[in-house]
Amino acid sequence: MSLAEELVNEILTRLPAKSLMRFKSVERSWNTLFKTNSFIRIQKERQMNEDRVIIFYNETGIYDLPKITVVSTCDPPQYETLEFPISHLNYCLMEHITSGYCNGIYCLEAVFGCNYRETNHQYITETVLWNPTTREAKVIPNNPLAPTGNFMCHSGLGVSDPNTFDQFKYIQIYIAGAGADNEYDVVYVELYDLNTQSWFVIHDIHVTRLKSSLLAPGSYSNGLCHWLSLDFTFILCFDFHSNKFRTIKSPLTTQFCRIIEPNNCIAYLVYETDYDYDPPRHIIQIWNLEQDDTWVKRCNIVAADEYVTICAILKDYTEFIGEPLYYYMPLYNSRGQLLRQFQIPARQHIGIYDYVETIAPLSLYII
Amino acid sequence: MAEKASESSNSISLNTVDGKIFKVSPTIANQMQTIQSLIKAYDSSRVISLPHVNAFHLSKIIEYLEGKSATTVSAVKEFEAQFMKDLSLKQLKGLLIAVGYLKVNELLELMPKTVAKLIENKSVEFLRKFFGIVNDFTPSEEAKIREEIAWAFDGVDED
Repeated sequence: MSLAEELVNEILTRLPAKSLMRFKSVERSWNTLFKTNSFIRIQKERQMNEDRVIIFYNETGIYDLPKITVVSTCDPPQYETLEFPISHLNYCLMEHITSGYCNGIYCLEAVFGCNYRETNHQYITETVLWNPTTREAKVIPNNPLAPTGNFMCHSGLGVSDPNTFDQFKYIQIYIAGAGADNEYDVVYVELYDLNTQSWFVIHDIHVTRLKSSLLAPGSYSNGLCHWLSLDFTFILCFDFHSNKFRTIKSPLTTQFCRIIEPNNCIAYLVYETDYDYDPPRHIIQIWNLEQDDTWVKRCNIVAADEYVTICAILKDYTEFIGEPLYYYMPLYNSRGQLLRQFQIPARQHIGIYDYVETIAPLSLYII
Repeated sequence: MAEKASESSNSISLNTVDGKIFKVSPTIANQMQTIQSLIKAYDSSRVISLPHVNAFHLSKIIEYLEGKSATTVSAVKEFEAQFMKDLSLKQLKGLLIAVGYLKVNELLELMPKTVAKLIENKSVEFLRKFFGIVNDFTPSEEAKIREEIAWAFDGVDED
């Protein structure tokens, strides 16, 4: 006798991604099943482990291929090193950023320069979507119709329906520099739809004037991509469902603010120094963005010194990963005390995100 | 004494496919959704026949339902772990079929987890045999998939 289909599904959704990747080759219907939305969603929920982060960093200088490590932040920490998925023979990396993260998929952008002068192709710019769990990488082709010229480009990754895993969209916003009135113009917005593998232009931009330029990259949460303004006064927000922009006023503005995306939620970090104390007290306020665009104060971190900056939030806002300090990434508690250091020799971190294990495919071809 | 008599008069008789009669209390019977609905449909004094369940599987299910009534969470966990440890993969499969037929919700949660843990490092061939699946890929298709995800074939257990 054999197991009914529902029982087989109950077993399969409880398997880790690596096993499922191997079991794709058991039979055709499994290979198809592992690409369906509901299967991917349930499997991801059952494999959730909130204590892992993925860190993209440079060990020596910016011209080396970046290093990627998945860290289980438990004590003692565990490390798994992954290989940067983009490389070109005879080209060296000039520049790279991580420009988006959504549902376990990471967006990487890299510029390569040719090692030989005699070729016509001196630079290659490449944007790649990458799933570190399945190690699948997918190049986003350049849009031949995109405007050329001196624009600031901001990008982000998202899905229109938070429950889908095959509708990834990559957005690129072109912003023209400040004019006489010191304002910035959103001149062109394009979206790449991974499902149809095509670009389309958004003509109805709504928010066309910005009083500040934006910080890169965008942070995804709940169907929306967010970019903090460089003056920290507002957040530009793009809704992947309606394809519309809106702006959200930030809760408060100091000399230094940032947004990060712990657990599919937007956290706004406000750094301030209280000079009424001697020595001065360094406080990091954390605010959460609610669904209705309002802000709720979550907690304060009292930092040991002014060099403490937070780049990831763990364990329900009780542990925080800081920017690299003396080559190692520190883990703080909410009183700003150093709990431990991760053995990652990061001179500079380029991106740190929640690590979500998912078998979400980037190309939907079915064998 | 009186209590015991009333309990036994309330007890429900289950007849397995291999002809063994089990008497279970209504509390135990009601945790098997299929039996719960059969009791409602028929006169409860009748013996309920279970054409898809054998005596070994039914005795294991009853053992589980009686045993998991331990008082503390850790005691239940310990009991569950021991209960699963005593079963081979083949036995788990047969039991899971019975559990699926009788709709024992708690085991429907626990057993797939146990089976998943036991097969996660197994080979593709082992899985086909275990689930009774016939490979429907052509050799070249299968080779192509395997080549794309060669890394997923590291660290596989011996069958």
